[in-house]
Amino acid sequence: MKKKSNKPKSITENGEREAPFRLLLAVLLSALAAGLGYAVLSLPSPPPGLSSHVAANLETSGVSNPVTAVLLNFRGYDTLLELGVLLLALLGVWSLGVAPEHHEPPPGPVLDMLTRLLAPLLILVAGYLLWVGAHAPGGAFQAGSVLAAAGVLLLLTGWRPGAGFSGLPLRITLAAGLGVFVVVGVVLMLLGGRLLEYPPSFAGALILLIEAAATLSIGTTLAALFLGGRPEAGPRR
Amino acid sequence: MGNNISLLLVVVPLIAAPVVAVLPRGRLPWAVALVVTFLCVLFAGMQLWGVLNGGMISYELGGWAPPWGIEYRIDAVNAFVALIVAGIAAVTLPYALLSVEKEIPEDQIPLFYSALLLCLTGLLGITQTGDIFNIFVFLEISSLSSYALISLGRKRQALTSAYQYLIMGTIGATFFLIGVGLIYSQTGTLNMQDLTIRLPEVIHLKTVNTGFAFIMIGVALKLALFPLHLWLPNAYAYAPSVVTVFLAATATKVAVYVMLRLLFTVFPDSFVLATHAKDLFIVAGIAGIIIASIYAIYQRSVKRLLAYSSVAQIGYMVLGIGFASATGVTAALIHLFNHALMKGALFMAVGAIIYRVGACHMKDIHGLGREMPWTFGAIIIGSMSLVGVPGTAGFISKWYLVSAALEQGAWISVAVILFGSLLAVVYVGKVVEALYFKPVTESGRSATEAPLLLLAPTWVLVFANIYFGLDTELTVGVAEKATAILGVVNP
Repeated sequence: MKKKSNKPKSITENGEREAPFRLLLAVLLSALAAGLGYAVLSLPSPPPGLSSHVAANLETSGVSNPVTAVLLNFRGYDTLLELGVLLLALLGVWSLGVAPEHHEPPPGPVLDMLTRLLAPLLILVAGYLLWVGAHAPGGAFQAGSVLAAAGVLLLLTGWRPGAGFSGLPLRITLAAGLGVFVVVGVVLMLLGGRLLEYPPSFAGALILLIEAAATLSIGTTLAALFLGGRPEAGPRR
Repeated sequence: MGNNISLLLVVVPLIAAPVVAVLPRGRLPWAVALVVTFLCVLFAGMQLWGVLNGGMISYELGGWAPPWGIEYRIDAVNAFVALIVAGIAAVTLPYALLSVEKEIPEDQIPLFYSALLLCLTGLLGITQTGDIFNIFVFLEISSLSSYALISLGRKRQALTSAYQYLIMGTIGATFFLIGVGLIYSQTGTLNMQDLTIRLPEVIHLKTVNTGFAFIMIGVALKLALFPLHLWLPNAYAYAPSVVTVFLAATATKVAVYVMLRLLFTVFPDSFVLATHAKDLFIVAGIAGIIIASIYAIYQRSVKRLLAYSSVAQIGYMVLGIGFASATGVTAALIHLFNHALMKGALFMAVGAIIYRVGACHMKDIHGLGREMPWTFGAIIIGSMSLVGVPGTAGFISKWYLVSAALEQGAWISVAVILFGSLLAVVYVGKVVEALYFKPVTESGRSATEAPLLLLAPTWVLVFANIYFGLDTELTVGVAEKATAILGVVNP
């Protein structure tokens, strides 16, 4: 009881006039959270999911990790669109303006050394995660985030993409994930199937191809988001 | 082949968007976007034709059968909404060329058209898909691109309004996703057709009811249902003119479609009729019509005035949904179509004024009606349609809405609909007064009529307002067919 009466006081310190409003908001939000918690706690176990369907069709999916099978095959279309969402996020940031100038002091010896050690290692780990995704937890999104971490580390040390890369080559790298995914989907359609209908014998190879391109794009996109704007307008012809 | 058209409708703009983003500056990005939207309207027209003559279309993505694969499932309802979205896009794009060149910095133009195409992809995707999680993904695509598009407005307030919309839109999307998760946990399916079959067994569970509430609030935020409309006025007021035209005529309409689909197809009728959801819709609709219209009267910027009017018009649609009767839903669908036409025409005309004088504040537009007669004419006819004058599309909407209210003896609703029209007369009257009866300002004297490329698309929509006010076969026919498919029965 005592605890409860203390709570609003700490809020009042910030803004006296808004205190009752904030208190009301806090009560409403707690009620919402409690209701949601109650709803989640009363969930059945085991849940009546689609896992049996997935298990039954895992053999024809080209991979043995059920998560990868759902992401890249059974619901590949959602993943394709998610890559579009990621690209769109960057497009939104870029439409706001050019990346701010880099003003930080050059990195100290520790950061410098650490980056020299870690960056190649991270790229290696990303490659491993990409490969292992076919039969164990891993895959394009995990690999891409590790790759992005390498990129962010490099950006922190003051490294910037050269003028040669920040134009068309960068844009192509960013769009590669979505591009390869769509091209694979459409080619399969032209060959007589439906969009993204992989023939079972090629499914594994196609998924790896899509994931490889996606890894590259996800890593680059996340690192480019860290820049906070378009790279210098530079020599774009 | 017929099924592929439904897929191409979404995939063509999706592929075109990254291509447009890497195109060089100049008019090429616009030209590609134009061709894509024309293709889309062609596909959407063929799709509606196919559905009306051949019945439901189903397309299994990746060749995996639903419920664990994703399915496109198109009947008269989606086909109708998809045609509205694609049609508005195709009318907006010719208009965009000059307006965008004036309002958007040159080096951002390829990104602008790319985001616009992605927004179109998202909106069309929501209408096409039969999978509730897929709706969420498309909702994200359309929302993210809207935030980017709005932030490109010329004034700095565009940034804050885009940010405000981003926060509220993300909350809406999260609510929707939580709801979908809760429902999946009890039914084990994401396919809407499958949900229709499985939901009646579990509909009594608290989890499902909570999921229903979360989904409804999420969608209500997206469609700017009063009092969750707070993001809309600023977003519409500060976005570039083309973005306002496109979003005002399509985005909220698609959200209304999602609500209709979920309420009347996915969730069992007996459940929806038993909850207080429909009463809440009627209350929110009535409050929206009256309060937003009064707000509109006090606006000093024409774009903000029309934005508040949009909140009020959404109130009419939600009122129709709240009646939960065949006539009510038909009225909501008809108004969905007609409101796209009237707001499209009005925002285009205002965009033409902004093109000439660079602003749309009441004091900036004094007397411009005499300098820009064609633009003024478009505003007059668009306003008449908004008010619901016989002979315009708006009259048909009001007619069906009033019939739906009378059917249930809802006299208060009838009075509100008529009172809302009176308020509309007041706020559009303010615009007309400023445009025609006030002396021209110094800067306005040099203004000339807007270029043909802006006027022609505006007048296409103006004529549509008159045409669909006289010939109701397409709108009412399709809306009635769609209502039958949604499964609404008169209680």
